[in-house]
Amino acid sequence: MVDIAAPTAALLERTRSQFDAATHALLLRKRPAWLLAIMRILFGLVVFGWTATMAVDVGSLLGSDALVPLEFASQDRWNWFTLESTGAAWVAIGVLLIASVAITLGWRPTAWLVVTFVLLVAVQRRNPMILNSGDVLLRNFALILAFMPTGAALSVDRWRRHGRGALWTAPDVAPWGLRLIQLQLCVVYFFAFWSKGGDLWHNGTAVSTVFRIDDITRFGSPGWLTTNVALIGLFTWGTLAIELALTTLLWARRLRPVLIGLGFLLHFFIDVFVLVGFFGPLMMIGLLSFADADWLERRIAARRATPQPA
Amino acid sequence: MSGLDATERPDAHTALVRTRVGKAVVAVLVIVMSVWIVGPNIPASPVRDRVEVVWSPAIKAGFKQNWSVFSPNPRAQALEVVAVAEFADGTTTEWTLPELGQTIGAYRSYRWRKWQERIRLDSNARYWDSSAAWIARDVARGDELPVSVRLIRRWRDIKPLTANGIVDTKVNEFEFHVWGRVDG
Repeated sequence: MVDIAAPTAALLERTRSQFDAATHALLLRKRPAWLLAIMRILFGLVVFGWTATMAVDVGSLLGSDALVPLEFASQDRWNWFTLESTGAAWVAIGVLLIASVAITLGWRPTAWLVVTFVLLVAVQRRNPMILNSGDVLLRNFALILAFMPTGAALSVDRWRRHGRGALWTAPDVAPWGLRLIQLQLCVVYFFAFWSKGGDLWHNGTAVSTVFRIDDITRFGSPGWLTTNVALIGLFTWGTLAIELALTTLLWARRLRPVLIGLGFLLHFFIDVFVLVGFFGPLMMIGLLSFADADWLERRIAARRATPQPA
Repeated sequence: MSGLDATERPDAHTALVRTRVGKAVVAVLVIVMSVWIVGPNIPASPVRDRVEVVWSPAIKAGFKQNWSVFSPNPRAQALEVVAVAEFADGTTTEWTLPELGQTIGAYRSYRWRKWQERIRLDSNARYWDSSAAWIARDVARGDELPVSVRLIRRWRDIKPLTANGIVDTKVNEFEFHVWGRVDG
C-alpha cells in the first residue's frame, strides 16, 4: 500500500504557496504611482473635452426642447439623478467641467471620479440616441479609476500634504485597482475581436467597406487605398490580429512595448479615418496601464540625477 | 520606494491591503468588479439567463458592456437623413446635419451621426415626431414655423471590394415621416 497522503499534502501546500505568491505579485506588490498619475491627468483632460463638446450642444441634445424629448430619456434603469430641464443639464455639465479640472489637477480625484461616473450616467441617459462605445467606456473608466490611488503623485493632494518638492517624487502603491482597468481593456479587445465573425472580416475586405461608409468617415480615405486588395487585406486581418494579441499577449511582459505601440497605431488610424469620438483616446489611456511603472521610475530618477546646466 | 522617505503614510487604497480584513475587502471588490466587467459580454444562452442576476445591478447603475464594433460585418450602407421644411408661402428649405469640421468638430459630430444612424430605423419611430418638431424650430424664420417637415432617409449600398475593384451603386431615397404644424 502506497501512502499518498504526504505527497498530496506537499503538492497542495506548494500549489497554495505559488497561488499566494502570484496573487501578491498581481494585486499587492507595490509599484511607483507615476503611471496612475499620468492616466488620471489624461483621463481628466478627456472628460474635459467630452464635457466641453457636449456643452456646445446642450440645448439641442439635452435640453427641455431637445431632439429627443424628456419622456424618451432612458428610464428603465435606476434613476438616481434625472435631468428634467435644460437648467438641470447645464448644472450637470458645469459640475462635470469642475470634476474634470479637479481630476486633472489631482484634487481629491477619487471623490470627483465617483461624481463624474454618476453625472456621466445621468447625462448619457438623457439622450441614448447619441451614444457610442467611447461614451460608455468613459463612464466605466471613471468608476474603475476610482478604485486606484490616482492622486498619489503629480497632484494637488500630494503638494498639500508634502510640499512642492514632493511633486517630483512618487510613492509606491498597491496595484490592485490597476488590474481592473487592464481587465476592462482586454475585455473590450476580446469581444471586439470575437464579434467580428462576418464574411467581410474573414475574406479580408471589411476595412474597405468601413472606409466607404461616408456618414462615419472623418478624414476620407484615398481611393487607391480603399480599392487596394492587398493593403485592405493587411488592414482587415491586421486589425483582427492586433485585437486578439492585445487580449492575450499583453500579459507577456517582454511583448508589451511592441503591443502597446501596435495598439496606439491601431487607434491612431481608426481615429484618422473613422468618427469614433473619444473611444481612441480612452483606449490609449487604457493601454498605458500596461506600461512598466518601474522602468518609468528609473527614467525619471536618472533624469533627476543628471546635473542640469547652470 | 520612490517617494519622500520610507515613513511616508500610504494612500488609503494601499493602506487597505495592510490588514487581513482589508485584503479580504479588496479580494471581494476585485472579484465582484471582474464579474461585472466580464459577465455582461457573455453571449446570450440559457445559462446566461440563469446567472445574469449577478451583474444586472451593475448594468442598472450604468456600468455597461457592449463592445461589438463593425460586427459581425461593417454596415453595408452609407446613409444620410435630411428634412425638407415647407413654409406657408410654399417655399421649402432642406435641413441637414450640422457641418462641424474634421478636427475638433469631429468630437461633436459623432453624436449627431449616431442620432442620424438610429433615427432612420423603423424601430425608433417613436422619436420621429419630436425630432421633426425640433427641426421645425431649428429652421424657423423668426417666429414663423414651417407648416410641414418631411423626414427623408437616403442610402447607398456598399458592395464588398473585389479583385476588380468596387462597384458604384445609386442613391436611394425614402420619406419616412411627415410632421405637420398644429395651430392653436
